Amino acid sequence: MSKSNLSKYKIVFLGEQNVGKTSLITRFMYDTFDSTYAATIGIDFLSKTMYLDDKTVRLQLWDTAGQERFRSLIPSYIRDSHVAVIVYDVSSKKSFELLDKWIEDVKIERGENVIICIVGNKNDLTDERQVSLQDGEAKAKAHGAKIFLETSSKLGYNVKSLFKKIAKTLPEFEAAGKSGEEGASEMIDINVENTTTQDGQCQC
Amino acid sequence: MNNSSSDNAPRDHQKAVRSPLGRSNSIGIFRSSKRNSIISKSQSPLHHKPPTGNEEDTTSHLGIALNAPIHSNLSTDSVNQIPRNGSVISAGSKSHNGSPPGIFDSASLDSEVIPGNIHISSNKSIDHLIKRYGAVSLIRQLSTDLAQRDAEITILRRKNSIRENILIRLLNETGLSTNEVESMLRDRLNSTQSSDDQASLLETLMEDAMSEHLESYSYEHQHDIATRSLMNLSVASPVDSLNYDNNNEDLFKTVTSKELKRRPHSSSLPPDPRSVSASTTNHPSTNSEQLNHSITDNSSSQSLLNLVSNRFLNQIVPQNLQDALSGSTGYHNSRPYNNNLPIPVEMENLATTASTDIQSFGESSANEGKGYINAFGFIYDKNKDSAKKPTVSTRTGPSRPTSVSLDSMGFTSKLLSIANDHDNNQKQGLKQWEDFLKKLALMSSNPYTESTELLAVNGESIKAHKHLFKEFEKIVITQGIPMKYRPKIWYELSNVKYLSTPGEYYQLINSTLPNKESEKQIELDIYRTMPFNIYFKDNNSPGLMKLQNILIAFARKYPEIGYCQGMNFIVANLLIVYANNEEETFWVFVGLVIEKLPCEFFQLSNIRRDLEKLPMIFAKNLPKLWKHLQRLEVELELICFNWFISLFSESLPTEIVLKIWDLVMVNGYVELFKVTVALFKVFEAQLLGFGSCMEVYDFMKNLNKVNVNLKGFELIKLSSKVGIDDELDFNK
Repeated sequence: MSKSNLSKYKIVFLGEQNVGKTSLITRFMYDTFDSTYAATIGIDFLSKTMYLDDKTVRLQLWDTAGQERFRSLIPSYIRDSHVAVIVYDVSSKKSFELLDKWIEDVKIERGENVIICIVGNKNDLTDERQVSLQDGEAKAKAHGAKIFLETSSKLGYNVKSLFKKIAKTLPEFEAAGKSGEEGASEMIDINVENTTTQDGQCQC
Repeated sequence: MNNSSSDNAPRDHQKAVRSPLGRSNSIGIFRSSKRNSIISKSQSPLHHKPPTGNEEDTTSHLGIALNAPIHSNLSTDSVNQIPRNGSVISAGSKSHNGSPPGIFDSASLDSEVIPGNIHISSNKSIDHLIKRYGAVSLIRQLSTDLAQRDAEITILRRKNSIRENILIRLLNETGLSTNEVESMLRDRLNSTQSSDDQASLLETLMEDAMSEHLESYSYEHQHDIATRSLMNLSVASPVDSLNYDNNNEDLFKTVTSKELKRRPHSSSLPPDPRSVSASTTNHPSTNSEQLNHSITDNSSSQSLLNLVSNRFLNQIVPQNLQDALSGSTGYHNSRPYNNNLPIPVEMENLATTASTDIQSFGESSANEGKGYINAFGFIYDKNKDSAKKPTVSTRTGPSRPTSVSLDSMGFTSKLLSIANDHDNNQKQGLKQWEDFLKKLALMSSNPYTESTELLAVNGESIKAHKHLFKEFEKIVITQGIPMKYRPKIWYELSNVKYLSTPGEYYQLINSTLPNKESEKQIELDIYRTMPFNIYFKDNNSPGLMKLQNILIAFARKYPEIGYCQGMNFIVANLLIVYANNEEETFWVFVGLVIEKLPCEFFQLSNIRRDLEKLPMIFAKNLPKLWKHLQRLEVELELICFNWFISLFSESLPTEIVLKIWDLVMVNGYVELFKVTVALFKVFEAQLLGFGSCMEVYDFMKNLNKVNVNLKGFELIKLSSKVGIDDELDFNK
């Protein structure tokens, strides 16, 4: 394995507590979902090789703790990241409002040298929704986020697309990304049934 | 998986949905059967509610009843006010309404809420019940029963331990030291069982476990049978329902003798490992028959593994002693399982956990056919390999039939090798420990009066005797502290005697002003601590409320420290060691944080500053590796921060974590640095082979994964050799 010539990208996951950062990563990594995860303390690290458009990249996923107390640690994790995925919970207005703070943190540390993704997770909780899709889109636009998506780690909804989109914004793919938007891309290791129903009714 | 996620959905998103059902609704079928609640009948007669006349009597057994979830006010309060498990504590700590929660609030014992023989009702009528009152109500009711029994057992346990102490004191007065009493007891108990038979049994078990075809095993099948068997339980053993007369001593006697009388006639073997081991001691001759029976019946390696591993657990903790002294044998044996089919684990584990003796940590049968539960209560979920915990996750399961055989076999052999290692280590280690403790006892000028402390000479801690302390330290490093002594020794080492104030803990829980910010966080985190551990899994898990209470009490006692993520993992592990004894766990945690860690450890800035000292220590102890890591631009903080903040409990297998804590209890904070270096040392060769910092992170941050072969003893030995310069002062 000549791992060394793989391009590596560092992706940090940020956001308030319990918005589902770990569950997004777990869904992507293992295609599983648990109703409960151990709280992330400090910082967790996982890496995954992703195949897309005949190219291979290695993604380093940094999962961060949500507790306020750990906030002071996070800048050093953001420092050399390529992508910052900032997650909120569509059923928590508060987590949405605090997005601004996270985005600011990222910009302070990385300026414009980072791809900002905004993700509204738990989109399956239709009855408890407090943040509309439009509000999310508006905020993403306002902050110049390159990617905005609503996801549901529980249903696997949009998780695959999120990482696909992220990959396509990476320098490695920027050129190729324009040629084949949907058809050419193929990821292995991911068998998520990509639920297209927007209402995301719980299938359980 | 779909089922479970739907069940847990509300909690998952922290939108705890409380049932709108009013508690005042009675559940019709229960009405006439107040004294035959499902759990008590199928598991233990101890569960029966004492008659109201004896309430006061029960209450007077110290405040310890608070220790366990007790159901109260169920009929009067709305469900909303009883957050989970009907626990008084939770109600108290959440609502802070000023009124002290009753211990056994007799007013609440409305006959209407005591459930009855659901287990013998037809499916139809259960369906009907669910339709009418909602599954939530029913489940809540059942868990209430469990909680209630938990409380009663706690009282019994405390009472028994008091009795034990008094008895030992009496013996001491006649001129026997505590250690002598214990070793004599053990010898006496050991001689009643033929060790040869046990050894050969183990061999048979191992052989069978190794050779069995694992593919034939069907989880659904077992689950199905298990459910049915539960339904049949009371039909199978109606004779066993004993009347609870609130006289605990008598109760134990009755139960034990009854059980012993009955057992020889039960030809079949329940897969409950504890019952198995119990019958092993009593009737070795029937074992092989029972064994075969179990194999053919379940066509399952599960039960075999359970048997084997239980054997191994019995080795770790000489259970006889504990049982003999605490009277808990009666409890365990009393469970009327004369059924040859598996029992759903949840019930069983809740029942055994409640009894909080160490045996309750024994390996149990599968959780709804999903996986194993290890010695520390972690569920090895066979359907996932994503989880950080379980530390050993195998890939088997109905969904991936092709990998079943291989991985299960891997698991089997791993389990067996652990068992062997343990057998050997424990035997040797225990001997050394006993010799050492005996020596200490004999050094006292009057060894017979000073009986309560293990590590003391004439009532003075061994820390005052340099050479003794050195010797002690050496045994800790070479042998580890045996499970048997660990709780007591940690208790002494963390200076609980001087830190604790009787009653303060419950006062903190019940009346002190809340530390709101911390408590919100705690409530969020208790579910996210050990979601794969049977004791902390969900609302019905026995450890969850205790975990919350301890964290809350700590945040209230030390508002300047408050609550920091990481504490939850530490306390959960302590609860496992202290067999769910809440108050003891709290004080040991206080001792650990206050006495052993630097004063601003959980304020984080402190840790980061100290982590900056790591490079120096690395350069000194691992010059070659350190150069390599520097070249790869590895930032140690990214790896080690998690290790420190949770004292490794999130990052390593539990048994190793406990060994590390042994060291921390003896020498404090500095051990964290030594273990850190030792961990890198253990994997030096691998690390040197890595070509990027990412590989290093990937490896070092996932050490609790199944493929990492890490031996606790090796690690501890290495860490004892790590040199740390004196100028690096880690003391406060």
